[in-house]
Amino acid sequence: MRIGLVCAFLVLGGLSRIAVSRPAPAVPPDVWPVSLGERAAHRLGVGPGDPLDLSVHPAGPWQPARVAQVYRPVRYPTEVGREPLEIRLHLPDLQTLAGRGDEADSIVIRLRPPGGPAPARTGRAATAGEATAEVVTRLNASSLGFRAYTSAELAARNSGPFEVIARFHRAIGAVTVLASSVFLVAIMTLRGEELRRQVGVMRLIGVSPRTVVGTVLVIAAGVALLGSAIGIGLGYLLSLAINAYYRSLFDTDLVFSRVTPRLLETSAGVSALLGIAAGAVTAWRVLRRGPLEQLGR
Amino acid sequence: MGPILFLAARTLVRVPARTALVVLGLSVTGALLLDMTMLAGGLQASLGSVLSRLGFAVRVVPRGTLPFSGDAEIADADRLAAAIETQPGVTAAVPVVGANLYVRRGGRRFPSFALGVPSGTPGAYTLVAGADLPARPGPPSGGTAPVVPIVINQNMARLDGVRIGDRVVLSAAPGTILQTFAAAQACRVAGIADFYFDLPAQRTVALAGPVLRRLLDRPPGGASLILVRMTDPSRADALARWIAGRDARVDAFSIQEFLARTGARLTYFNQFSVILGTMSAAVAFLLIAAIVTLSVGERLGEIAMLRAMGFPRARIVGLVLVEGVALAAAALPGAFLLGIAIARHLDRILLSAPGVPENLHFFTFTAAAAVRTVGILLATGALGGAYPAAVTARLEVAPTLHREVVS
Repeated sequence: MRIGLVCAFLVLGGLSRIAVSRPAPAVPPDVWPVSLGERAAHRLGVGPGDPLDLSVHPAGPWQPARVAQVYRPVRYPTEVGREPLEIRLHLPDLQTLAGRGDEADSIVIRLRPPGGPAPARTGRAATAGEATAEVVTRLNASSLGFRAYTSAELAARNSGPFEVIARFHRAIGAVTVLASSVFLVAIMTLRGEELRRQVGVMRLIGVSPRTVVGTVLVIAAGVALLGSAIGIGLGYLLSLAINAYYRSLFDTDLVFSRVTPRLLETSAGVSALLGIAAGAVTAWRVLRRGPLEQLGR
Repeated sequence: MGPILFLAARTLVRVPARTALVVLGLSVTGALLLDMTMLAGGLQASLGSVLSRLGFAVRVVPRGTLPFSGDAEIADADRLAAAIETQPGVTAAVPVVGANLYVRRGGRRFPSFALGVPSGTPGAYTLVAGADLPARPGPPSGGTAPVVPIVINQNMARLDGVRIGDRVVLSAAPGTILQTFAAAQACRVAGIADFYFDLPAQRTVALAGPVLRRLLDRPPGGASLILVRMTDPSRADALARWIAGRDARVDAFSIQEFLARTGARLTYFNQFSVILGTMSAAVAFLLIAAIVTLSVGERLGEIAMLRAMGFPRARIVGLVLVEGVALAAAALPGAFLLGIAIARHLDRILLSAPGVPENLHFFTFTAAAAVRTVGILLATGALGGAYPAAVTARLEVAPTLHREVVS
């Protein structure tokens, strides 16, 4: 089995796990141990112990390797949909294979917990965050051709696309709320027209307009809340289906759709408000005619 | 058909407030439907439009990659480009190098994307001011020209104040300490150009390929990408197959194949548009079905009377179906106006995502999207009218008229 590596240099946590299997006596020193992602192993039809040949160019030269283990990669949301085939090598092996000396794309730094005496300037020991920020500032001041980030800065940089997607979803949500509002008002208008005769009779037998308005509002709010309850149930089922489908499609444990209590509150609240507004419009339309006119006389 | 259309129109205008409300609701759902049809494949359509405008029918990249998606290069790309140029219908095969460099001007230094192109105008950008790179070949790869001409993008001119005739220094080194160990090249800005796939704040420079390779300390002859121009683009697929068969190190894509490859990375938008488009159509269906059913329920006596007067059952059914379709048709102008306005807003939101080139759009209004929206909305109108039409088809004339008289 031959694999062309197009990937860049990655310093991955999984390397330590390969290191455990590296001294296995079955692997000769000139055969590199590699760790394969599940998808890559499945696509290539290989498993632990199987031989592979690796190269960065389709035409070779080829380096013999052996699968030390197959792992399930942690998929980040940014990687979903790209279906990368992952293979992990020891960093020196990949650097040798690519002929790029001791280059690395990124270096992950773990700091010791801050300790020692409090500096005179602040009078207290630095927190972990402050210590990290100080190291990052020092590294960036060195002008040695790299840029250092704290984990929080990196997370903020990488979350840009998700913030945009969230804004996109909110805008789409606003349009759907607009569509459902018009839908609700249309339905309530029709319901009001159906109620016309009943309202006429109610008013002729002495029921006050206030009671009529209250009745229409209760009906409207009830219809809206009932619709919202059914909608929440449908949404929950849809959410389950979306998660099942996309988890299977992308072979990941990520959660794609989540029905949260806040979402339920918003949904029910907006529905009730819209229902009451639609009811008010309907009540106004119904009551502006006289009782006899409502009865068709 | 004439009487049916007349009756349908009269029925709808009989209750103007209700009809207006339904048309408004359908306009909003229709707008969402239009937006989703614009989103489905919109980015690909936009990309395809830009690629077609560039005039390169085939793109050759290192195998398994997309243009400028990594550091991978095609070794001896010059030789491969020369071989491609011998093929019938090929007018030019242009090797292009892409890399990140630092541009120093005065005391400031800013990162920039550098495009190494052969001498002359390769068509990888459109000059908007000044002069292009010179047509005669640049200095040999080992030689060093005192000052070489470059073309910059409009971002660099606007954001960094670089003007035509300015002197800048290009280097692969980001800082003053490392620059001691890296090659640097003094350059003069010859022109300002529009580079098609720039990111919103990306600085880009174009310069002679050999000069860029020397700055990057890479051996001569390689390239990140080969752009192929043809007299007959319809033969692009055949040429792409020939290139891929000749050299196992590369992938060759016609524009269609390239769009198919990039489309695989846009699953989210395609699936999203299918789900939300289906929901929009379902809401439109419910709205039309509810309104037409209630309208028919109010007019059962009238319909029974028409039947008693000799109006055939099929025409009554047709009348109700036409009512549903007419409601959908009446909503189309509003749906298109609202849909295009909403799409612009949504497009602006998505374009603010990092890494999206300036010339691309997620929502693309195409004839196919318009036809699909009209077709789906009218079909939804017909479907929405199907249930009340079935009710009228089953209507018993005498009992209905009797009930009407008694009530």
